[in-house]
Amino acid sequence: MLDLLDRVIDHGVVLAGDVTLSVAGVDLVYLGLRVMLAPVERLPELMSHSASEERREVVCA
Amino acid sequence: MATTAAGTSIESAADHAERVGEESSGWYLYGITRRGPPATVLMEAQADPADGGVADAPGGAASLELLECGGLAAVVRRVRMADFTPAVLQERLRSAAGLEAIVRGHNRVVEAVHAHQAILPARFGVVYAHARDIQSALRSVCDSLLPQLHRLEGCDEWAIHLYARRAVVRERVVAGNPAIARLREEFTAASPGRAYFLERQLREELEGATRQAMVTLAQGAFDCLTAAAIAGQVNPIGPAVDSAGEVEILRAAFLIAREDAERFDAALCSVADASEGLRCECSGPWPPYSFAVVDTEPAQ
Repeated sequence: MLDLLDRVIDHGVVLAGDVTLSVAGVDLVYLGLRVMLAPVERLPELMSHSASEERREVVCA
Repeated sequence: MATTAAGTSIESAADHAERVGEESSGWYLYGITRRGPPATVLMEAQADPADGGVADAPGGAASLELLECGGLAAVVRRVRMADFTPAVLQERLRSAAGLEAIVRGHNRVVEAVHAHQAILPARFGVVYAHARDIQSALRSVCDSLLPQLHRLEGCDEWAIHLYARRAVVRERVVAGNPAIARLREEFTAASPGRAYFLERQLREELEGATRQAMVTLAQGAFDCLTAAAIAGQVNPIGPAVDSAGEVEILRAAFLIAREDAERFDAALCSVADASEGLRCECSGPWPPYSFAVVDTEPAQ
C-alpha cells in the first residue's frame, strides 16, 4: 500500500483550472493553463504493515 | 417545465432539484487518455462502483464519463460537493482502512483504463467545479499531452526499493580502505587514553566512508536499471530508517515497455547480486503515475 500511496499522492497529472478543493494535507500549485507536477507533502505512512502485500523480493536463481 | 393558465413557466420540483444538483456537483478526475476508448473500458472500470473510493457517494456513485476535447479524453465522475467538504474528507481519511479504500478506488479506475490503452494518471483527490474547466485545460495542452500518451503506450511503471546491511557495507569499506584498516589496527593496540581519540576518529571516518559507499551502490543500481528502462526517477526516501541493521539506500520508479520486462528483470537480478549485503524489493506493474507529467517549467 505504501508504494500505491507514493504513486497517487505524490505523482500524477494536475490540470490547472477552477479546482474546487484538494484533499486535506495536499498542497497544489497551479501554473496557469499548463499541466504540471506539484510536489506535495507525503501523507503519514499509515500502511507500512501492508507494504509486503504489494512488493516482492528480487531473488535470482 | 409546467405552464400556468396565465402562461407563466413554473419550474417543477424535479427540474429545480436537478438544477441545484448541478450547481453543487463537481467532477473528479482520474486521468487523461486519448479520445475514443472502447465502452468496455469504462464498463470494466465501474464494475464495482461501491468500492469506497473518494468519488463514491454514500448514496451510490455516478457513472464514469469521458470529457472529450481534441484528441484527448478526461476520465471523470460527477460527484456531489457535499461529499467533499473538509470535514467529510477528514473523517473518511482519518482511518488507515478509510484511506486505503479511497486510494485503491482511485487507482482501480486508472488501472482499468491502463489495461487497455495509455493513460496519464491524475493526482489523487482533485475535483473540478466545471466540466468546461477540464475541457479548456485539455484544449491548451493537447499538443504536449498526445506525444506523452504515445510515449506511455504499452508501458508500465515499476517501483524499486534497494536495502543495504550497514555492517556488511562497513566491513567491505574497511577491507577496501588501507588507511581505515590501519587506523583500526592502531586503535586495537592503543593505550586507553589514545584509544579514546582513535576510536572517535575511526568512527567518523568509517561512518563517512560507509555513507559514501552506500551512495555509490545506489548510484550504480540506478544507472544499471535506467539502462534497461525507458526512463528512471529517483524518489526521496526521507530520514533513513535503520531497521534491523538494514537501511533503504534507493527508492526509484522505472518506466518499462512491456516487451522489455525480461530485460528489466535481468537488470534487477544483477542489482541484487551486485554486492554483498544488498536486498532488492520491487512492486508493479503500476500505471505510470511517476511519468505522467510533461511540463514543469514555471510560468512567466
